[in-house]
Amino acid sequence: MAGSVWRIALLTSFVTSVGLAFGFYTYLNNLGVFDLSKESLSLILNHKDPDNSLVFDRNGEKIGEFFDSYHVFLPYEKIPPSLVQAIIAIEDRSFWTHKGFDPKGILRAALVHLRGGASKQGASTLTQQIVRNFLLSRERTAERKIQEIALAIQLERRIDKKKIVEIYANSLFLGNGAYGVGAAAFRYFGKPVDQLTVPEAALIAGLFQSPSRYNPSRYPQRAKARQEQVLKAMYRAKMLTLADTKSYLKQPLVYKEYKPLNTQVAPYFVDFVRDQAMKLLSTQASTLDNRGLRIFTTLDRELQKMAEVSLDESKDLLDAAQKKAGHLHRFRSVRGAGAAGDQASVEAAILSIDPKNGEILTMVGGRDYEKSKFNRPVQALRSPGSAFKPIIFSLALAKKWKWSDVIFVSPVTVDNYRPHTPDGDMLTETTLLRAFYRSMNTPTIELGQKLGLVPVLQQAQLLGIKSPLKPEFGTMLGSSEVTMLDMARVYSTFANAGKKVEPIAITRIEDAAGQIIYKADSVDDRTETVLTPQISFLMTQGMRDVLAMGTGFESSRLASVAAGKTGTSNDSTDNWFCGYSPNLTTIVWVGTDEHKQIFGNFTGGKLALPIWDHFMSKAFTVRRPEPFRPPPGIVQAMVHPKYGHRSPTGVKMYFLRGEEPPGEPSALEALSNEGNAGYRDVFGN
Amino acid sequence: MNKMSRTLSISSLFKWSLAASLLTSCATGEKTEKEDLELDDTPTPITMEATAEGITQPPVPLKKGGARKSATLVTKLAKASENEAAKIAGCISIYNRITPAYKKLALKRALPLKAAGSKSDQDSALSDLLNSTEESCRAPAARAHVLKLLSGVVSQHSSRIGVILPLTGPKAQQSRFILSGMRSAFVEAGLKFDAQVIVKDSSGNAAATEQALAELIFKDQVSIVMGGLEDAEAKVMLPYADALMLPTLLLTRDRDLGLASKYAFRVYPDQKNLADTLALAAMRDSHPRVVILKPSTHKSDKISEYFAAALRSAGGTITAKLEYAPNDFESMQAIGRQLFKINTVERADEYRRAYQKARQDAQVAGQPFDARMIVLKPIVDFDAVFIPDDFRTVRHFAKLFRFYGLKHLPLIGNHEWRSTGLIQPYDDFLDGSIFADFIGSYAKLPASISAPTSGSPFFVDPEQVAKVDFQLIGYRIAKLGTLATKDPNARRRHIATTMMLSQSDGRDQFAPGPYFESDHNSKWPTYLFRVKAGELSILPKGL
Repeated sequence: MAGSVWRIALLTSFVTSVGLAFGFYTYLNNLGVFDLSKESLSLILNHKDPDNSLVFDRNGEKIGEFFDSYHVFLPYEKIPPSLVQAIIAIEDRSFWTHKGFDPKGILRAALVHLRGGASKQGASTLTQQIVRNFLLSRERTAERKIQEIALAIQLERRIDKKKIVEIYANSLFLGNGAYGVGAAAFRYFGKPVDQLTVPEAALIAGLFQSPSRYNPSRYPQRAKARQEQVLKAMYRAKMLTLADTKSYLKQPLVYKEYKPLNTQVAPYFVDFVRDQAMKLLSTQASTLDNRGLRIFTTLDRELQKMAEVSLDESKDLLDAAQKKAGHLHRFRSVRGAGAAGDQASVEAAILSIDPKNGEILTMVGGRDYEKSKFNRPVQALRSPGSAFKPIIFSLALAKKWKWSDVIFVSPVTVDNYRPHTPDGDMLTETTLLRAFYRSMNTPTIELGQKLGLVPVLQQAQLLGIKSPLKPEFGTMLGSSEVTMLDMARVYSTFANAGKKVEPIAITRIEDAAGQIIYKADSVDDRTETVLTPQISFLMTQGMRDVLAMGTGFESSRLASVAAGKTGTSNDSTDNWFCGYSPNLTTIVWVGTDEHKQIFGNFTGGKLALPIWDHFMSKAFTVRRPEPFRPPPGIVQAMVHPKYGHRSPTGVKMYFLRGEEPPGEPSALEALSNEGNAGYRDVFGN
Repeated sequence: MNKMSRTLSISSLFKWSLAASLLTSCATGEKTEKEDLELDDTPTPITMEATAEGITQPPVPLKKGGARKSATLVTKLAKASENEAAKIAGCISIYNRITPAYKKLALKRALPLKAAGSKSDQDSALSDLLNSTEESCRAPAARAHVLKLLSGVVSQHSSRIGVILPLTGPKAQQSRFILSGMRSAFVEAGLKFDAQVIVKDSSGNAAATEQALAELIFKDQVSIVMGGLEDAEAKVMLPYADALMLPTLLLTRDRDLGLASKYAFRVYPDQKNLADTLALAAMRDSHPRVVILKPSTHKSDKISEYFAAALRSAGGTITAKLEYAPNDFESMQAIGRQLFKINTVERADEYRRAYQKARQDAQVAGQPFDARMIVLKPIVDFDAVFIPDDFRTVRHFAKLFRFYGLKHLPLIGNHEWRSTGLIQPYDDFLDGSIFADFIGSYAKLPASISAPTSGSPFFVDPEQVAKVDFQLIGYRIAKLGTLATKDPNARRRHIATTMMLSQSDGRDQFAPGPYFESDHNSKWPTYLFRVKAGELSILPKGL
């Protein structure tokens, strides 16, 4: 009986044990600890951190990146051993020997916990942390811990230790938007990971436990203390000698202030590229980030640098204008003006384009990106002033007017519009060319009247103005607002023998897999002939004269290789110089964002031209200006600049063959030669 | 000679000549002035013999009939009153003011007269004359010599023409053009200019003109004199014409300078004719109320006066006469405001309304407001504007008027308008405007002075315009000069009469009919032009 009872009890115990075991197994199985599914494993192994979208200049150098989280993936082999050691020393000293979890480490942590201390080293192995990050939630329960351990064990059976280190080092958040040691190295020390020193590597290794708590940018002392813990852990793990450890502990950490790459080379351009890429890919702004896109652009880093320097070195000039900006407008009603008497910041912007292919080479949107991210070349609508005049004169030349045609310069009125012209220009006569290079207003309006407002507006659109123009005569003197990009399009057309090329900033975009998902149209597909080469050449010669003897005379030394036109809107609110050589168009604008006047006789010739000159002079050293070659059917003649007749002492003018003025003398000159006696002085005394 | 020429005073010579004339008149008993055109009183060459006792009949008459007249003259002279003797004394006094060198020259002129008496007597007489004083001139011998001298040189018809022009100085160019025109006329007439014409430089001043005139009279013994391009010169020449009975063709601009002399004629374009024609045209165009805008340089003062007078006499009115400083924008602007009564003070209410409206319009349009854009509506209380100034000024005024809000305003102008510059490039504001000129079609000018036309017979190469003007003047005066002197056998006293009576057949650059008006102004034709659609057309004179 007793035996039976014993047997029964034994059986019962067995059955119960089996049942419990089965139940525990079932419990564990339900937790999934015995089942590291293929999907889960794949999730870990094939995890590819979202890559930044990168922006490259025309030479393939990186100038910008678009991301939400900053990743720089490094295969295990690229991770410096010192960094690996530092991670292991502080996070998982037994990593190389345990099978996924570390009972000693758990015990050590538990003891520390029971003593009421804080563990310098976590209880979780690197493998556990990976499992936790990739597969599990962050809840602190026994079940989750069991799951973590079980899955870690299974993961260790499936992949080798190095792969685990690689995954760990690349995927964990390390603060300041950086994911992985590669990104952290750039964020905190501004250099690639293979250039990190041991103390620097130790700092990064210390971040894994709590990136925010040890963020060097915010808590440098805490970060240093944590780094020291790492170094000491490395010493205890015999990864460092005592001497080295002491030495490393003494070394100060030199952080490099984090400056986003986007702001380093061409911040306004990168912004523009972002906008353009979004339009080209028809996506929302956020979706460009971390898509691993490779955006290849047209930016010329060298020219961009020159443009930045040109603005920097024009500081004195711009500061002088600054002192005169907006001072007097309390007495006058000015659109866009702020409170009476307040002073606006004088801004400047530069935009350069290769007129042959429309590629944007430089874009400086303002004097200081940190102060203002307003990208003036493409976002600011400003009055071009006289920089609009080439549009009218090009139409006139196309309509059979000639540079030698004479206009009597007297006040003009169009409806109620009476353009202001300096009195000194009144009661004179002038050829079209002289009116152009001296930027005289009333002859331009008169010419515009004869051509008609609508044809002029059409000509503006034809040449490249995309901004809407007001259908009023003031537009002829540049009162309608346009962008610098509009003007770049127009002037590039003149530079390119009458062929308008649509400007581009992006040549192609590749996706993360290297597939081209956008490619810019070929130059031919973006090119439209809108002027004959002959008319374009005539305009170019007129604009060379602007430099040689007109409103751009301050830069007359460039007249042999460049052409351009000044522009000044009312009271110097906007100051332009738009100029070009056959292979480089550059638009410079100076003004205030508040549309305030700049007093003190500032003009486009005095404010924008010096900057243009500065930049072009430098640019020509690396981008040799090509000569302006006359197309067939062009002839030149020496013509009197005021009276339009052939004169050996006149100025050089160009004409379509057969349209040059005849060799007849001018009645106006004959009159002029009479002096005070008068014309046909038969009755004078 | 040069020294002598420099210091010779023609006024002295004139008075001297005048004295001679007086003497002659006294001697012949003839009047010194006659109202009729038959100039029988032209002095005849006189031959005289002076002795210590008095004046005797000369042994050999110089010219046919001269002896008889000389005898009469001497007789009359011997009976000259004390009063006449005083005149002679004055004449001699003046004579004494000329240089000895010229005196010698003048006396050499007298030597052919072969004064009677021994060589020593002659020398004595010459010496006496050279050193004549108030007293000595009373000496009969001296008197006789003077008479011989003067009468011999002022009364002969040589067919030579003297020309006095300012060949140096500001008008040198014009003078050269005139001479060029003269040559053309001579060539056309088959005459030798250099053989018949003696040209003297007046340098544009009166003294030099007198000197030149003296030389022409006493040395070259010309039959007629031309010149007087400068008023100062003309004023010098004019009295001599009458006093010496010397036909004189004046190039003076001023038709009012004084043409009382029967021997002086004016051959020059006539502003009065231009003004009369324009005034008539203005009235015919129903523009009786005219404003005159004239430059402050005074160059157009005369034509403005003539025009005003002509318009008034035709029943019109000059509503305003305003002056502007040429080439001064502010001055011309001010003229415009004055002309159209654009006065913001006097029209303050109107200006205030315009100001407010402009400001509102600017706000609505989103444009900056600019008070300079406000121009009051012009008040036009006249029919036309006369602008006797060059085409350039007219062009600017036309634009200024347009600026002040006028769409059209008839303009009237003078010959200075005529230029391709008036219509190229064309401003239709000028449509209907008229101007007058003394040249019609350039294509009808004598071939020798024509200039290349600029695609239209109404325009010549601008650099040639002045040249053509003055060549034509030279051509015309020379035509009359050759006409007057073409008969070498004619008596000089008849030259003036010949000119007055001659008539053109219309083929010699003169209008058919008499060459001169009764007031001795040559009859220059006037042409009236109208501007229309960028072209000129000639209107029938007087419209």
